[in-house]
Amino acid sequence: MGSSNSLDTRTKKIKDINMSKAIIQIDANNFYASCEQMIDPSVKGKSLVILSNNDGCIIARSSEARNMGIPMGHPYFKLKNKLTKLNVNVRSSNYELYGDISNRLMQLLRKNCEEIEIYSIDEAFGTIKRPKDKCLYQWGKDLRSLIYQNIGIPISIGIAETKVLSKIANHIAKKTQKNSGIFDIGIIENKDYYLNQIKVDNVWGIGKKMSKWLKERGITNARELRDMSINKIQEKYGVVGLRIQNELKGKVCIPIKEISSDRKEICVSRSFSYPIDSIEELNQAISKYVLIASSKLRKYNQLTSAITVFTRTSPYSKDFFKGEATEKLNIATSDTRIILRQSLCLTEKIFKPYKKFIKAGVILHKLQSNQYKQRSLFNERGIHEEFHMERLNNLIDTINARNRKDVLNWGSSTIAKDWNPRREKISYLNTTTIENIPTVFAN
Amino acid sequence: MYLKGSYSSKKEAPSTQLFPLASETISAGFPSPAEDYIELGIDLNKYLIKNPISTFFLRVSGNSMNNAGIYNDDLLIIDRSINPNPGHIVVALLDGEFTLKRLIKEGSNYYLKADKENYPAINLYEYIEIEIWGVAIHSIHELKRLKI
Repeated sequence: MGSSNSLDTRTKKIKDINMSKAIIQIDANNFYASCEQMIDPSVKGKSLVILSNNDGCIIARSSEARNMGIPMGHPYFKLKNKLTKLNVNVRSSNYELYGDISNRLMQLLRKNCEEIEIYSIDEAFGTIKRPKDKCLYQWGKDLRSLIYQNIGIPISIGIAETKVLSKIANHIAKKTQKNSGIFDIGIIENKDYYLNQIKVDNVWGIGKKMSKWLKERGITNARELRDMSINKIQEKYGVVGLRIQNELKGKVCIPIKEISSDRKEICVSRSFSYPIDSIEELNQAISKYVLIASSKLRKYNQLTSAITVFTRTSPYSKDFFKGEATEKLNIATSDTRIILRQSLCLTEKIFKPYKKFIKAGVILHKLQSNQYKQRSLFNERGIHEEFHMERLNNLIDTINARNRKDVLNWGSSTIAKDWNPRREKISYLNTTTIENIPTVFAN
Repeated sequence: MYLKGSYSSKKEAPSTQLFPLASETISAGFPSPAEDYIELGIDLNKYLIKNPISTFFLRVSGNSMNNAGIYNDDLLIIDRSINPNPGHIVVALLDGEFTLKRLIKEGSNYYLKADKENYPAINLYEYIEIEIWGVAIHSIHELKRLKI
């Protein structure tokens, strides 16, 4: 066994010399709409739009709806009549479903790439080995059909030597029908032909300011940006500018980050379904957000050392009002009781009578890992009590997670909850709760 | 260069949350010799689900698949990673609904057929819009008490 193993590693090393690393960038097409179409056959292949939190704006469209010319980001109430006339299906966002499908997508990618960096709910970077001078189109095609078979979600794949180029490749993959969602810009003859077509605004990392500056100097596309004077760009934008330019040249400057760095803050905020003007209701809302935020905190094994509570009225109202208050904690904690008590004190401070609040939220910041917890000299609570509180909190999280609903709550958050965000058009179909799975007909 | 499907490796996180109550308490006395032997119990997820990534659940409505052992209100487990082959019970997308049928091959034609007499078979070539959504691998049937 031993000898065959060493032979294996030797041949592997020889093979590696003929391999280079390719970076792939993957994103799901119209992700939210695709999730709904996967789980709900009544909207499959039909025009469909998804509304943002509180049914405010259109945040996703199926390709069918996009082809009908329905705009992205527009307020729903303005388009309501048009959508009904055109027979477009409308859904509130169903984050339970999107979260589950995203999770499955990332697991599939992790199995098929060497490294993977999850970039957003529907987007990831990965690396794979490229056999010398070999186009990875077929590999991408196989991955695409594998993902469609397993979870029913269509994806686009861009393949290149660097992250910036892989983004461009993905862009081209989406734009041209004949690529069927895959484009490998790594080893093609006419690379410049494609880079000429990419506007500088669409190059990853180029913001509005920088693109304006570039255009003033006659740089309009990715090819021109790649070939422009190094000194000029370095003088104005330093390392950041050089990095983008080098990536366009095919030199890796922005590596894959496999483990996302610890989050620095947690923000939980929601719009209400109707304006609230009493301190009781505001307290209730804040309490609810504290529960969500602190259980997130414990999930990632972190502690918070500062709390911010904020609320605001509608920005369109005449007497716009925004209240915000922050409190530092002496000892970092993840204990719901302490965070809740502080947050409610802060709510008291920012509340103003006769104001109609439409949004509120809680931010936990200055997060630190629970492993390096500092014991304060002035810690009045014994370590023993702290240990018990930690277990109580974790137990409540576990019970709530197992029951899928917050069966255990803390006093201030339990009164009527009808200010909860509006989700009138939600399909309630999902893949994670047994009451809401779709029906299959045998009749 | 080969793609890995969703066949699970052992490295994956366990699919269940089973919590033995006795494992973490602090006791001052002599530790229970059984402590190290606490088992987590039978994991039905492990038994019923081979590929968590590609497994989905559907609720059955109707009795046309009774002969296949699938009844109204059963909980159906679907594994999308399985390639549908003749003989499989499949979930198909038909006229905006999920339909449960058996995939049959006769000659060179593929059909979807209910496991019940007098149900017409659907010829797959006649329906262009049809899509096989997944292969059913288990049906969970609750045994109800009869009134005797």
